[in-house]
Amino acid sequence: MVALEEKELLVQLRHPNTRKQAFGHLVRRYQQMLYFHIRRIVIDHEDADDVLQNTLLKAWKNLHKFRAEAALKTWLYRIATNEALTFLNRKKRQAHQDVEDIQNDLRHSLREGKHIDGEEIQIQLQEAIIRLPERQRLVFNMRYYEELKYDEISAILGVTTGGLKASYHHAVKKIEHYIVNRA
Amino acid sequence: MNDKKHPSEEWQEELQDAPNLQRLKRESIFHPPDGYFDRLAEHIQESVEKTPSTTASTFLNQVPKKNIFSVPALYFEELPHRLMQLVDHIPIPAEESRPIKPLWRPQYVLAIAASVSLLLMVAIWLFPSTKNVLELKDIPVEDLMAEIDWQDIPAETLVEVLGEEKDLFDQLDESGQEEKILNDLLQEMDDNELEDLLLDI
Repeated sequence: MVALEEKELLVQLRHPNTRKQAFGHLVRRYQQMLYFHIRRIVIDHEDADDVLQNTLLKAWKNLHKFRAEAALKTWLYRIATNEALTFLNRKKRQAHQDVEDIQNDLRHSLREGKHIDGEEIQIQLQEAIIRLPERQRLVFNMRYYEELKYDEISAILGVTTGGLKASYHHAVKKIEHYIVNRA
Repeated sequence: MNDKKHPSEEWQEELQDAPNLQRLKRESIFHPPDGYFDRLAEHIQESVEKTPSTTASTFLNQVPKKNIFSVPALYFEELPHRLMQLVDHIPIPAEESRPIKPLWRPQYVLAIAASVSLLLMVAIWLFPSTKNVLELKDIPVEDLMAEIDWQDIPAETLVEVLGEEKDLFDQLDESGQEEKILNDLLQEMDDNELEDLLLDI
């Protein structure tokens, strides 16, 4: 299948006759990026699958509202981030859990869950990331693993690049501290 | 006329109360090795290149960056197909079918503000720790209207969510009684619907 340029993809997404096919292109193009972004937030594959599906269905329902002021990637990232955080908050409220309970659940998924393949030191790194405050966790993942530019993260999270750099810096320090204390 | 003093004069004046210091010859006693400044830039550059990363973490520099999360076999091959089947059942509103509403229309903004306030109060009401403090039926609309300062939730988002659920835009067009309709809609919702609405926002 021929990959469409973003501009052409947007044109096709706007036209009722080509919208569905173009959406198929969109899904194929962005599914892995969105999946791993969501997976790093919710950890468990089944949860990530649910959130990814909701993300893409929400994108489909709101395609007519996308005005191309932001890049498609930024728009999708924003929806995915909101959906993943909403998922965790909903889970927290439904089970009357606090932040620590949720972190314990995520750590359990990390240790016992399926579709996780890494050495002990990398699992420990993920545990350290899970312990970070929400924003630092998001920023660290988006910068370290997803290698997004601060400008891109800023557009997605609506936080200034200065604030993001500070969050990243604090996240790195806390991870280092966690690992050193475990050793 | 420019009466600004030369820096050397200012310096002399500042030492008026220290005659001994004033008499001393002002020169540096510190001398770098010969050619130090000629090699400095090169030396710094070499040091920068030897620094492994911009992060302050030695741990992160040592651990290979690896994605430990994997997916079931054929997951990414099957996902688009699965999604496109779901999409078939979701009609997408055409751009031209929904006229742009002037959100800044005074009575509309007022109605939205009241509803936002109501939702926020409901949010408090829904929290177990404050349960029984507030009930929807006990909140007079006038009080809600007074809560206009609570604008953390974008009004547009609220209207969109309500509109999707109840075809609100059409009703607003026909009756022009935005405030009443918005509040009626909220009053009609049960706890679960309100909770979902809040989560959507």
